[in-house]
Amino acid sequence: MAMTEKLVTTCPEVTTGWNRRKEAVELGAETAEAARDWWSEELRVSEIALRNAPKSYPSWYHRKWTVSRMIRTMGRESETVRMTLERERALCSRLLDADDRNFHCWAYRRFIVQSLGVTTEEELEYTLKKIEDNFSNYSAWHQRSAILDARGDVDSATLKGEFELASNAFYTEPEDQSAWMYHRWLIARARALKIPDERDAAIASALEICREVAELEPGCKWPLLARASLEDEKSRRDVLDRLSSIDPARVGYYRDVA
Amino acid sequence: MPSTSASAIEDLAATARELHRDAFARNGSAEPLRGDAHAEYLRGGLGALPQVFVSLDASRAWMAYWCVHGLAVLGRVLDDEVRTRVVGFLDACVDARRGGFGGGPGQMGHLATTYAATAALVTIGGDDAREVIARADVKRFLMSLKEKETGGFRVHEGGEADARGCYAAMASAHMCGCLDNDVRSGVGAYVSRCQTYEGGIGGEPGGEAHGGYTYCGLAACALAGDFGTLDLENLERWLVNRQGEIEGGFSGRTNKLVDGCYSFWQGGCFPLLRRANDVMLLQFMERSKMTVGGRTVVGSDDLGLEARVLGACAATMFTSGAFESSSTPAAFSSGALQGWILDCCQSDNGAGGLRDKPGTGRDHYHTCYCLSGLSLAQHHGRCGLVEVVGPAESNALVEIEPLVNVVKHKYETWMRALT
Repeated sequence: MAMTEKLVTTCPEVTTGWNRRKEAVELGAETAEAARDWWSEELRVSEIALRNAPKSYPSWYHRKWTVSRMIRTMGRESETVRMTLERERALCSRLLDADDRNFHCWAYRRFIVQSLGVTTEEELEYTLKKIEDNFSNYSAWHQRSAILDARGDVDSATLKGEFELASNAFYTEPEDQSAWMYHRWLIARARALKIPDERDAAIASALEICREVAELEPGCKWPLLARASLEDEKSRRDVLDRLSSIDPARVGYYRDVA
Repeated sequence: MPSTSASAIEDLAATARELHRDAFARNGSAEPLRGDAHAEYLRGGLGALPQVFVSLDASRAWMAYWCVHGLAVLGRVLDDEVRTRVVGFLDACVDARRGGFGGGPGQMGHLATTYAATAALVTIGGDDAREVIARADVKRFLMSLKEKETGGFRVHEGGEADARGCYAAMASAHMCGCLDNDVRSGVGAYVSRCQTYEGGIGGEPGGEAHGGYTYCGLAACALAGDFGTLDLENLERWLVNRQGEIEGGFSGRTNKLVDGCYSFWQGGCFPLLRRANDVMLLQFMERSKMTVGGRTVVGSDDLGLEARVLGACAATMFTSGAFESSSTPAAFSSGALQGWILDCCQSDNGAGGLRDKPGTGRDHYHTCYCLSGLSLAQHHGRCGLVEVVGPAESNALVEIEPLVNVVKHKYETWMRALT
């Protein structure tokens, strides 16, 4: 184990090293004594590896494997598992403070909060804090969509609040693409609303805001791009014409979709 | 509200604007490509690959590919001695027990390095390169990593599954001549689940869209002849909006900085999209006639068969490039992309090697993908036309096949000999 530790912490991409550790754990877990807290070792070693290389696929995967195996053998309700999951959540927060766009860490965080049974509201609170720190952080916006999707259908009251959050970002910094991208998800969820009146009202109010921002910021392409997928055929053509003139780099694309 | 990432984007755009202006003032166009210096740098990378030496470095098969492919794109020929040594090195990377190639001699087989080693061998070509590949072993290796339930592939024994795994499996199978229905089944469905509302493709279902995975997912579908339920229109919108209008290069994700390597990962999607649209149109036409390749498919009971035949015939046409017909310009700005690579990704001091962006150091990975991106911007900006920004004698590169990122004529020679 000491040898593989040296191997994977200096060169985490050597998957053979991680697999050897997994095999050793599987063997050791047979005997109660050796199984006592094999996981602390695995978490310690993969943490060193991640500190050296925070985007290493095998290190993240080993960590996920370790936690999954703990859950499988001890159960989610075990005190040890809960404490470990809480520590993992705190570790994710620390790593995301250092690099708020590390998608490996965001994916691992989704796995941890789901295993821990964190409420959607609590995780939304966390992403809101990350967005307030830096609303260009698209990964935090994406996390909102992922955890809301994981809960199932999104109701119209929740959508209303999310549209407001996105709109605040549009008015603050219309050129910032993060909230506009999140807006695409909101539109898709609004279109999936089951009650026709609620659906039509949500889309109409979203379109209204896009028109307003487009008016206030005539040189900004994002509200026009959003309008291009919301307006009727005639207005859509006008919007694409305007896009071609303010964003000539993509004129080939606008012509393709017209 | 302070926003560090937004200001970093503005800073990079300002730097790029200045570099473009300086280049134009000096040359009346973009910078000339310093091909000799880049070739020398890539040759140096191959010098670090001894024939058989077990080391810890897990990316040496990749190193071989980056350098061999980069040199081929530059139109350079390998010395016999180097050529033989690289083939010997890749042979030593074979994981005989599992099939497939490891990252270095004695290492466990990995899908990514299997792709890299295969693509390097295709580029090198010749009987000895061909002999390194044991088709049946590669197939056995791929099938041992396939997840039947999802259609995805684990990247190595006991490892994670993602869109990268799908691509590496499809491209390796294609070049090794073992891409059959066992290998391809379910790939379109898996990749479709990785597409996000942004339009791009994430590494795994639920993940954020990412340029590397988007290329991998789209190319995997193209190779499999199965696009599942991918929304190609939305994919295209995401892609075009990744190109920075001032910088000219592509960013890898929503609201990230432009980076030279995405010249290939994002740029390479455009020729694939164009062919995908042709193939889907053809599939639709074929389906409405219910006749496939001379055989009439009768009732809906036979749809399984129809889908299989269509998949195979679409894959063939895809890789033969039979559908590149339209001469309209691509949806991205190929001239701006060339400008980014020439003005911003070559070093400031005249040294060889290309980089992520101004202010970062060169490396072999970025050198390979900047050159690949430059080649495809020259050859796939407008179908049937080669458009070179800057002086053609220094800047024109050899055409690549975007499905596998191997120089086109070498790919074609290899595939013709594959029986």
